[in-house]
Amino acid sequence: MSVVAAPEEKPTVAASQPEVVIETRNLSKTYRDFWGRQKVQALKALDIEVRRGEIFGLLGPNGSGKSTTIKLVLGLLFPTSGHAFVFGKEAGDVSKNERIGYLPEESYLYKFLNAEETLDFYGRLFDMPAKVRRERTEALIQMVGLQRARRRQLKEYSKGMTRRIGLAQALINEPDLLILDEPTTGLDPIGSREMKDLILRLREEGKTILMCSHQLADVEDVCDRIAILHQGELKEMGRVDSLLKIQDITEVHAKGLSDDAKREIAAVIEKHGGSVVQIDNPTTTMEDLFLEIVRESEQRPGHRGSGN
Amino acid sequence: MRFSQDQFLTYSEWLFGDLDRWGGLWVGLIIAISLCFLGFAVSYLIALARSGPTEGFYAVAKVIRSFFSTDLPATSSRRIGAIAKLAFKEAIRRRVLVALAVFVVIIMFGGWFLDPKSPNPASLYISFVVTTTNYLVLLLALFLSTSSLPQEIKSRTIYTIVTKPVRPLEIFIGRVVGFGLVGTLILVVLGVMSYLFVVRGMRHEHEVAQIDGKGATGETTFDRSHKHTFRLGPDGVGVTNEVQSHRHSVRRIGNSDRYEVGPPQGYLGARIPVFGKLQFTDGDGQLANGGISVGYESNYHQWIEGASLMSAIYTFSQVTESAFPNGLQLEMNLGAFRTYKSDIITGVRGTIVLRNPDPQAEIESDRIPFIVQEYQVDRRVIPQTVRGRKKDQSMDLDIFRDIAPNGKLEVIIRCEDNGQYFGMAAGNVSLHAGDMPFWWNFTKGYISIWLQMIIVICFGVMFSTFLSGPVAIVATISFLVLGFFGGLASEIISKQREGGGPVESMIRIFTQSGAITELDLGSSILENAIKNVDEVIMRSMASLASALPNFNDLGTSDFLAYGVNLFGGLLGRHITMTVGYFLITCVISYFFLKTREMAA
Amino acid sequence: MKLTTFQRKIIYIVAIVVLLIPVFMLGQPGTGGNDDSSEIGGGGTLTQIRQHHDISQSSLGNIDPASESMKLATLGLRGFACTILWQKAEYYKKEQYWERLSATLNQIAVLQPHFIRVWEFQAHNLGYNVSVEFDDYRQRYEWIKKGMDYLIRGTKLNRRQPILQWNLGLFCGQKIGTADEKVQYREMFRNDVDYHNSLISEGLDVRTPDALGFDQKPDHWLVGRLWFNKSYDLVDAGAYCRKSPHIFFSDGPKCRLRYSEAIEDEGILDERAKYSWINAGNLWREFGNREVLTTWGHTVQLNGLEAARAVQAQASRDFEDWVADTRSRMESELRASLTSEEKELLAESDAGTLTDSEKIRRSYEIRQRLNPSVMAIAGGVPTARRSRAVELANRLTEAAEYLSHLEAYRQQVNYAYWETRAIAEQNDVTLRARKKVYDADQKLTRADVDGALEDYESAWADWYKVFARWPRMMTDDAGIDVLESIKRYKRVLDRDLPNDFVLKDFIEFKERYDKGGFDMQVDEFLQRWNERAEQLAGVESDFFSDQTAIIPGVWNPLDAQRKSPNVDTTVGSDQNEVPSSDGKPESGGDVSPRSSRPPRLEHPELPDFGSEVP
Repeated sequence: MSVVAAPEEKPTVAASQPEVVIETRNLSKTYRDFWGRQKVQALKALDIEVRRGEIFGLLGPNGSGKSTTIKLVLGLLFPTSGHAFVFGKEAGDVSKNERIGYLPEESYLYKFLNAEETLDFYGRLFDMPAKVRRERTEALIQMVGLQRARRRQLKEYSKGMTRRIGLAQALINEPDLLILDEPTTGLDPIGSREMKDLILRLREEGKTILMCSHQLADVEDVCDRIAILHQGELKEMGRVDSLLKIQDITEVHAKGLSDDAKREIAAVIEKHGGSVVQIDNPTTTMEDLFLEIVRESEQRPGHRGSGN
Repeated sequence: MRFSQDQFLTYSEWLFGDLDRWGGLWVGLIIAISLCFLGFAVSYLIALARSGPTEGFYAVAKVIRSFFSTDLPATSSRRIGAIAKLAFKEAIRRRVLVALAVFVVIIMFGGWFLDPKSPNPASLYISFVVTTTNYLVLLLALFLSTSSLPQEIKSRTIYTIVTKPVRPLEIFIGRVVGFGLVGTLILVVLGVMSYLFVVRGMRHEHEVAQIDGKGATGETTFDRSHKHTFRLGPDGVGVTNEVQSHRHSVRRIGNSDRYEVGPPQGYLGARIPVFGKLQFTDGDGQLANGGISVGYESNYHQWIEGASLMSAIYTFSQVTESAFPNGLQLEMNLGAFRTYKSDIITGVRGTIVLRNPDPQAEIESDRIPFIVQEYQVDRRVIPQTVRGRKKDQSMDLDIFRDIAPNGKLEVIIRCEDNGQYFGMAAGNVSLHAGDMPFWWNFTKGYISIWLQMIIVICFGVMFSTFLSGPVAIVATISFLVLGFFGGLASEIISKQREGGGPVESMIRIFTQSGAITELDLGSSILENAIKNVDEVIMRSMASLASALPNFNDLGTSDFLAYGVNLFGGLLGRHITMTVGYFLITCVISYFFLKTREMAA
Repeated sequence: MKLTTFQRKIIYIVAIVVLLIPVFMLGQPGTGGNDDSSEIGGGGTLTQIRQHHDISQSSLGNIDPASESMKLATLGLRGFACTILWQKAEYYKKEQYWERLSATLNQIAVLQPHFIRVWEFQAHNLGYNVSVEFDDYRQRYEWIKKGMDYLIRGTKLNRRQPILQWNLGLFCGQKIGTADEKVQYREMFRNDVDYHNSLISEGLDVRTPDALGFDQKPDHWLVGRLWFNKSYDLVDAGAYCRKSPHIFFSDGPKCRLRYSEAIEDEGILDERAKYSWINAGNLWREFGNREVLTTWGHTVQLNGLEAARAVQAQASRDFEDWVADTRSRMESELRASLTSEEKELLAESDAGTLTDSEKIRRSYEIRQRLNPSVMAIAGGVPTARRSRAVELANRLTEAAEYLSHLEAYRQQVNYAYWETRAIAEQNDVTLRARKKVYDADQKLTRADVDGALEDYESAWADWYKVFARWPRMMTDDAGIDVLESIKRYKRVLDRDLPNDFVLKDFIEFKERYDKGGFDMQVDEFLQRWNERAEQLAGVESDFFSDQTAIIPGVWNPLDAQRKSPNVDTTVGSDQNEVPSSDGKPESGGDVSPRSSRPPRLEHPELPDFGSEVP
């Protein structure tokens, strides 16, 4: 993949922590109806940080506020209170978009354009010269594997092809930050795998990625860190591996132990008042963790506290 | 056709105005400034309600600052081009070209309503196609411009736009440019079709029906509800008389008895008129404010009485030999009013006198008699040398050297029949300073339609930045209605026209009472309340209408229809106004787009 | 209550169906049906109403595609579009954009082709209001034609609207023929071959003998009559017309009368004029024979005046005979009931010494009281004879009412005048009188003053005879014509008319007559003129051939006051021949309904309702 320098844009407010790409402070959003009456509190005082080079996942059931968070970060919505900063700039600032690539949930693209036209159009929106646009278009079509469908109108595309062209348009400007809204929805297992590989590859290239999903497996597979939202509140945030570790269970895998040794170990455990199930440190599944958090939060609303 | 005083203004006169009249520039500035204040006040109030006085002020100030500091400088023509191209493609995809088919159907049937017996069929044909094109294009602009942005918001394709470094201004301008291009394309096609329709519609042929033995005079066949008579010269070539505003040439073919009638001439043209300043003298021969009224509803004409000292004085400037090498061609279109029938066969008589404006010079021509021809242009060539008097000495006078030595010429018109009247207006008498080709005038007329279209697109897109699709359409229609009929509100307020406001009218519909009668609801309190409410509504409508473009003033179809070269000053003024409205809608749209949550 | 989407959909569907039912019932198209227009051949209510009023386009056999497509194009906003167009038309009219006006009117008509008032109103606008705005009479003529063309278009889209054809008759006849510019208009119409051709192509054969004038060119009066006839045919075939029938049916025949008048003005004063008048008279009589529906519900026959009078007189006699006793009894009773003061007042009134207007009024009231109504008398008749009395009273009232209605109707169409006129104008003496006036006028233009005077003077003698025989001729246009020519004569004469001027009585009569009911003595004049005419009826040919019968009216009671020095004795004998017993024509005693007899001259303004009605 050829690399083209993204348009240079020095952040005006120099990020105090260069490592932090996205930062939300006390970010809240309340939807109101036509008469200004409060309808639903979609996001309550969210504080997260997304650091350079990581894949950050937003996880939560439908209506948990993860889409709202993304829209607030993109400036598609204005926060009711609190702030969202991207590259140290307010989310409402258009110039931050220079370094962002966004793949919307359903690839809201123009159905009457073909792949080339689509990429060319978005390239123009980044004020890219014609030559650069042509190169980027070519490279991206290769990358997402749409060579054969490049002249077909998007309305003829399958779901997977639409996702791929959506991703391509998000990458047109060589973004430093990629925001992916449900990147694998509607993709078959192979497509899903390819998408995940792509995401991982992009991280390799040093891009920061914020994605939201309710596909637990995806999050588990690709995310470095996740935040779990429920009913507009942050329930859990941390590294995926540590979150999935169950602390009070020890798993011991050993090879070549004799039965005596096993008995001895069992005796030691019994001596300590435990009982041997399997000597191991097992991990829970993402699904279990998720369901547990949701169940718990429904019983006891409030911040669950975060472990890093 | 009837000209309003306003139309005679040159561009700079219009732009800067004078003591009696505000210039267009100042009016535009006033509109802009008041919009600024209004906009600031409204947005501050909204922000105040949302986040309190300081925070609110800060929010408003931030948006304004971002307009000047970041968004305006960062505007990129490439992005505008991309959005324009997209809008263009989208419009074509939405089958706007159906409009062309509609137009074809309309002009196919349209020919049936046009009276071929009309004394001036070209005028009817032209005003028909121009008006149809005008309405069609405005409607098209209306639907195109209002539905696009709401549609994108609904289908959320806007998400992929606003998450790119696209400035709100670019979204607006790109759309205006894109739809403007579609409109231009359609307008060009409609223009060509209209032109062909008119030119072909006027085309007809006659043959020679009868000719006297000597072959000197004859009559053509009766085609298209008219026929001509003609007179041939000794060389066998001649011209027919003028019927339905056109003539044909007639030619004998060789020495045979066969004749050939040429195509119609004079239907389509564009005279370049030079207008003068009009003054009146009253019954004592003194300069007066105007003529008198003979009781017509319309005040267009001022009337002078026959066989009295009343006269109309047209003062022309720049009357030089180089401008009028073949003598003065005077074009008159006077009204005539009889207080008694008198001689039925002969029309009302009048005289023309050319006079040197300098009273000391005492140079004026003899009276040139004429008989009034109403509702048609009476062309009369005054040769360069006329008989006249200089300080009571009768002599031959040269128009350019003696009467108008510095290019200023007074043309004095009097009515000679006792008890009869002539109606005069500034546009009624002009000097013919040459002709423009018809196609060029036609093009200019279509440019003025184009300008109207751009204004509608600007407003349509602007409304769609903060209203949903159907509401934006309604808003733009209201804007069009105000643009076409807004004058009505001010006419009713100033009592120039009978009638009341919306509430009163609504009541009258149900009580089935006419506007002439007093509103009678049995309670004067109620009646006054209604009248006051109406007054407020009508006044706000009138002031709104005065800020919005008046489409009646922008319409120039009469110039085409009556074959008058569309004044450059007028077109320039329209262009300026269009640019002005474009800028205003730009700014308004910017703030709406900037403050709008696209995902809400 | 919250509804699910499904419930809402069901409600919408039900609502749509419910709304569709009336639409279906109203709008169902016709199935064609049979040809008989009175029988309605199926279809929804709208179709039926359309068929009933004969405005359904399909039944006309030719759908106007322009109109239909415009209706479709306006998508139900037709009324709105029409309103805007109407406003525009008003604006164009105000600002005098005449061509635009006419184009806009065409558009309105295309959108609303069945609004008859629109066609009428706007045709009038074009033909009358716009036309006069032009200074050039040729242009004015063109606009009258535009008005007519507009109406013609209307007739094509509204085949069963006689009012449009009637209006065309009016435009073609009256508008052209009574305008100030009639001389020019008539001439232009005559020679407007192109327009004749276009009329023929519109289905009006203007080259039938009925439409051709004396010069074998179509005359607008006669063409107008063709239009009227078309509208009459429609009404006779059952179409409705909102005009009063007597006026409506009088206009066609009047065209022929007016035509005769017009060609005489143009100097056609020979057999052609005479035959034209004969023709016109016949048409007028035909019109008089027509049973005309009145607003009271019954029909009248305009030339049935004599018969109606006879019926009324007979009814009166029958009634009076039957109730003679009761009447005298009741009258004496009433008289007895008067107070002494009232009696005194009456006596004073009889003596003619009352001057106080209040007293005059009271005496009139008392007299009214003394004169019991027919019904009151019938009620006072003894029981045994009462039912017959009431029956007779009813019959008398009915007859009187019929007579008064008939007379009112005759008055409204000026029936008697035109009847007399047609008869009188057929007479050679009338023709000669006109010819001489015409010749004199012509001689004046050639400055032959002596010849003109000679012609005038011999014309007056002839006119005298005409007036004596047909006093009606003194009224209306005919009288005005003569008065006008007398004025010209006077100017040429350059001095006052001599005392023995043969038409002096006519002039005096005309002055009094024109004042109408305000001249107290006009009744006396009327009676005298009428008596004279009655008497001449038998000796018509002698009278007209007798050159010496030119006699100023000794019979005029006012003559004595004037002490005219020139009293010709032959006149005296003329008067002496009048049997005084015969001089009571008002009594209705002379009831022989001879249609050839010209009607009597009646009091202007106040039609003679028959003084016998108590």
